Formats: sequence, structure tokens, C-alpha cells
Amino acid sequence: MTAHLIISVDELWLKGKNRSSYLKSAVDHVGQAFKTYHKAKFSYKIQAGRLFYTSPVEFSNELVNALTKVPGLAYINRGKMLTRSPEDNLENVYDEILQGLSSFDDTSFTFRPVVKRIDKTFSMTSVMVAREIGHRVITRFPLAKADLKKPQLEIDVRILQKHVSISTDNHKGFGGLPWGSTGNAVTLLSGGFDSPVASYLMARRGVRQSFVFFHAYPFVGREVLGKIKGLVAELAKYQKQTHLYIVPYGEIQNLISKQCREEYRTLVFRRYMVQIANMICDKTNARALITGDCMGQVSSQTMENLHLIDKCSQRIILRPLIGFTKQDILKTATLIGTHDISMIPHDDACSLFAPKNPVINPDSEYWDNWDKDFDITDDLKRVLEKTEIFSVNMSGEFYKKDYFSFDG
Amino acid sequence: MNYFDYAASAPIYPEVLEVLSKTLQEDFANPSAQHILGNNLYLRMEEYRSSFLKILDAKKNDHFIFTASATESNNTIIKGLKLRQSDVVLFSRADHPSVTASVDSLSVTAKEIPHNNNGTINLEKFFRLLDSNVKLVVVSHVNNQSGIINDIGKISKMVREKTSAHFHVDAVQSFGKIAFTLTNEIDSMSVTSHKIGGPKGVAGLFLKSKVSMAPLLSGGGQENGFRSGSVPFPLIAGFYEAMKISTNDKEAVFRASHFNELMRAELKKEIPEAIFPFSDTSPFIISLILPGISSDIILRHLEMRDIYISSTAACSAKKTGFNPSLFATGIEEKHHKNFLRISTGNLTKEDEVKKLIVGFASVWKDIKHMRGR
Repeated sequence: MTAHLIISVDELWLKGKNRSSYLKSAVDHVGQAFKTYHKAKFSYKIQAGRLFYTSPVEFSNELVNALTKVPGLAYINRGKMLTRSPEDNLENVYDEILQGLSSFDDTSFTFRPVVKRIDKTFSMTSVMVAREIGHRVITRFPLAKADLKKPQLEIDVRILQKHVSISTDNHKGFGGLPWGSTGNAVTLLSGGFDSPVASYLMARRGVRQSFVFFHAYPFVGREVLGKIKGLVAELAKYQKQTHLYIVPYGEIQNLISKQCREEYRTLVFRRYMVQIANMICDKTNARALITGDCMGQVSSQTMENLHLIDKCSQRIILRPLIGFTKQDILKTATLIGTHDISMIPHDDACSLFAPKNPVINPDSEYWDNWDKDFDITDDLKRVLEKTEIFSVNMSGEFYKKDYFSFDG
Repeated sequence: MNYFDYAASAPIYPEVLEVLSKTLQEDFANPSAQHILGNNLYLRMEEYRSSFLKILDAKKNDHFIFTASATESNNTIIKGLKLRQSDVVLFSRADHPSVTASVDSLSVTAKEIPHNNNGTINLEKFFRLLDSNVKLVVVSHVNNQSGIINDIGKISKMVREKTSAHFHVDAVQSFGKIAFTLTNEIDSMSVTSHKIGGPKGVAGLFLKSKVSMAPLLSGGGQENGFRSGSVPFPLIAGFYEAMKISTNDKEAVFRASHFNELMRAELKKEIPEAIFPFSDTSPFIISLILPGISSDIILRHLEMRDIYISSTAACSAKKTGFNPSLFATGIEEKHHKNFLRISTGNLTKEDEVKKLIVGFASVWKDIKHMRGR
């Protein structure tokens, strides 16, 4: 018996010249998943945009789960490769299928055999084999029911020259484009529901990401960091590897709030968050920022205010949630497992510093001239030098801590 | 480091550390063991026990039970009296949760002891609650948040005059700090080691000989059957050492009073908005309200300056911060979020006190513009 895993890559048909580099990105990321979750020997080959992995040891659920979060994969199909018996009947195949279904004893389920006869010299046709499988499954599992349209389970059988591959375990991949294939960005996390969802959506479009959190210590406590790390641990599963930057921002917020017109406070906070994020981009060669902004959700997300923030960024700000409803966001957050983490209450410096009447139609002259007599570049640099950088692997483990440095 | 959270836990005395290091290494035997190693430790432990009774001015045949924490001591006595539904228990909401939660867990008729607006127990109203149905009265000698000292002598006489109730004193914040006489009316008392420079994980329950009490923990019958479990001899040795040093330091209370007055005066000067809600408190504890800024924010600004004090639980901007213990001592709910506690101990130095004053002043200057948010 040989365990096998077949992975098909998504959207490859869209790519002309870039095809091979996209495929390489996907293979690299999948390779990292194997390195992390499959300690045994394995080999693979690439055929017609599909990746075939084989190993003497079964591929674990942990590996398959990790693969379902690798961007750019369409399907992951786990199964076994059996040698065709000398009598050339399929008895060993049927046995293996029934064996593989043993966990369904006493439960009702619907299924559909999908049989492909690659070796056309085989004596039975695909339809005959499928019918035989159906018959045997129903005999063995009285609660099983065939359903050709929407089965809970597909029993995938391919008859090859010397082997028969069987699979009862198909997983839909994450889809989209491979990690890093579209570029590198810095994602601003707040601890709320939105930004993790934004990160997830951009991961699906192949964007490699680092995360930054602005920590308003000492105005808020350290408890929030546990929550942020929890979110990054989930989001890291869509990245081959990533980093979390924790910027100590309380000092800057206090500085700003003493200087700035109260109604502009939130906006000015965001201005320097974007500025610091751009400085991190300089360091990491990132070409964009990602935020969870959603049109009109709060006062700093009016069209005018978003425009002012855009004016302060040297890089494009990607806002994948711009047209989402809150319900859409919460639904996706639940799907990706960040909802319950985001829900944990935490001290929020924004509400602490929040102006009573935040500006909605900003005076662009005030904004444009703001930094003429308020230069805090040195303060921002100082804060960055106190920034902690955590390295996070694709299983969400924080394995290293450094400090930001402008050199090197 | 400028440490002002002794009421939570005190740094260990160097002498205690020395004792611990030696006894942890050498005195590993079980004091209940039959061999000579065990016997010797048992005898030493009994000596320590007599010293504790002596320092409390108790009778020789009274009990001093070693427990693992003052929380255990309070639980042991409150639950161990096996009170019935009709029995009345008098206790204060201002007290430590190990008292209030223990009482709340009983099926008895619990009544709260009323306080005056200044946080002290309202003796007149308290007196009126006393009758023959009252079977247990629990009072703290020094309240752990406000530092208010309750007049145990007066209260215990009132209890005796009107009832035959068991009278339990939580003396965790006063033992080894403020001298006081164990009046004949006190039936039991909780004390602990780590608030006076001893190790954590050991505490005591004084119990008058005549009291019958069911144990919280059953097992090998150690501590006269009152508290089963292998006795942690080294921790007891450390506790004894800390008790000895603390009670010998007769000047400590005067130093604390001096620091207390200094801090109150200087802080009031630097921060005119500051409110000191309580007077007649333990000199080791200062309560302070800085209106308009959540106490945890002040706490973190101070910790950045290497100064450590205590706030009532961390308050989220969204929570009201209601604190039942503060409420019981008469602090308005709007100030619960702004309540800070500064507590000193025998190792506190004058230069630390000065740094605290300077630190407070600079923090206030830096963030007072945020008041009311």
C-alpha cells in the first residue's frame, strides 16, 4: 500500500507566461506544509498542473487541514494506491473501500462512486465498477444511500496501468492564487472582527503578509496582546511564514492628543499608523497596506476621511471589505475561526481617546498643513526601535522574537 | 525597583531566603515519619508552633494550624463550623473574597455588617444585629483595600455581650505589622506568611482550644486532624523566621507612619485633585482616588517608571468597574475605576517613597489632560 495525495492548483488556466512561477510558489508552500506535518519520507511529481504525492506512511489529518488553507490550491484528494492483483479483479480495492468507510457504521450517509478507467484494457467498464462498488457499500452499510447529485461522500477510483488509486477523502482547497505570487503587504490589525477577514481575503489573492498591531500601552494593558497573537496564529495558517510587529503606540497617541483638534484625533492617529506601516514596508519590501476598512462603518471610514488617509500613504491601501456588510464580515470571521477571538473584550485606546464629535467632513487645509508645525518623525523612529517582531510559522507558532532595526 | 504593593505580597527577607535555602536542602524528611529525621523536624515544628501562639499571646493548649494560604484558613473556619440554615452569620462585603465567597457558599442566614460613610464599621447598627441566633461573626482587623483598622477589642466585647457566636478575625493585613492583643473573645484568626516577607504557600489559622471544627481536607490526620496533608516543614521554618524578623522590628510601624504622612502630604501638593478617602487606617496602606483617569492607566504609567502600586481589578473602558468591596466601604461607584492602593512594608526605604512622589507627579502632568474620557 502506498498513501497518496493529489493536489490540483486553482486558477492556473488563467495564467499564461506566469504559469511556471505560480506553480513553483504553490509547490514551495505545499512543501512547507509537508515539512511541518509529514515527518515520513515522501516523493512527488507534477503532472498537468496537478501535484502527486506518495508516501509509505499515511498522510495525516493535520497535513490535510493545513493544505486546505494553502492559497492557490483547488482540491486536495487523499487516498491510497493499491497494486492491481494478479487475478486482475478488484477484490482488494473493494475491501479497502469498505474498510475506509468503517467509521460510518450505524450512521446514514449518501455517497457516489466516481470511477475512471485510465487503462482502457481493463476488463470492466467504469460504469460496471461503479455499480459493483455501490452494491457492496449498500450491502455492508444498510444505512448508506446512493446520491448521484449531492452526495456527502465521493468514492474516487482510478484504474491505472499497474495500480488502482482509491480515495474517499476529498477536500476543497482554499482557492485563489499562491502565496506571494501577487506581492507583499503589511496588514494592520486592530483586534476587531474586520482586519482578520481582510487579511484572509487578500491571502486568497496570493498576497504575502506581515502583520502590525499598534499597542496603546500604557493606556491599555498587555492582555490585548494575547488576543492579537491568537488572531495572528489563525491568519498565519494562510501564510507560508509571517511576522507580527507590535508597535508601542501609547506615547504617540498621548503626544497627538495634546496637540491636535479633538475632532481630528482618531484621524491623526490613523495617519501616523499608516506612516509607521509604510516604514515597515520599507524594511520588508512590501508594496501595499491592507486594512479592514469598510465604507461608512465608523466616522473615520467616510469617503473623505479614507481619502485623507490615502494621501498620507506612499503605498496603495488595499481595503477588501470596502463593500461588505457587517453580517458578511462576521460570517467570514466565523468561517475562518477568528470570530470568537475578536469577540474577547479588550481595552481599546481608540474609545479612550475618541473625540465626542469626530470630524466627518474634514478641512483639508488643516490636514495638509498639520505636519508643518508638528514633526514627530524622530518619535516615530524611536517607537519603531522599540517595536517587537515575532516570527510565526504556518502552524501559528511564535518561535522567535526580535526588535525592529533600521540597519541591515 | 520601587515596590509599593506589600498588601498584595511582600519581597522575601534575605534572612528568610537563607533559612529556606538551607532547610529546603537539609530538612526534606516528613515530620510525620517515625524515624529520627522525622521526629526531629516534628519537634522543631512544634517549637515554631508554640512561638506563633506565644506571639499571639494565646494559651498553650490553643491551636495554631499551618495551612497553605490565608484563603484556606478563612475557608476552613467559615465552612468547618457546620452552621445550619437558621444560624445567622455576620460578615462584611468590604472584606476579602475568601471571606465573602465562603460565606456566600453556605446555606445560612447571612447578614452584612453595615459601614459608616467613612468606611468604618457602624458599631451602633452592628450591635443591633447581635442576638442569640448569631452563630458566626467575621471581621477583618485591617481591611485589605482601604486599610481601615477595625476596633477588634470593642467589637469582640459586643459580640460576647449579646451572643455565644464564634468570632473570627482575618488578621492577614495586620499580623506582624501592627501589634495587637488577642482578646479572650477571639475564637479564631487567619494570618499569612507572604505579606510579611515569608514564603508563599504557607499560612496559619489560630483556633481556640474549645472550638470544634470539621476539617476542610481529610487524609492522614496531620495538624491534629484539622488539616491533613504532608506538612511543608521548610515553608513553616521560613514563615517562622519572617514572623520573628517582622515582630522584632518595632520601628517599622513608625517608619510606615512617617512614609504615610509624607506621601499623603506631597501627593496632595503635586496632585490637588487627589482624594484620600480614608483616615484612621493602617499606616502601611494608603488609598487614593484620582478622579477621571482609570486606575489601571495610572498603574501602567507608573510601572514604566519602575514604580509598582495596585489598582482595583483592571477596568475596561466599557465596564463600569463596580467593586462590591469599595461600595461597602462607602466609595461612590463613579470612583471605583479610579481607586489606587499604595502599600508599604518593613523593607520600604525613604528614597523609594520620594521616587514614588516624583513619579506620580510626572505621570499626572503627562496624562491629566485625559480626565473624564
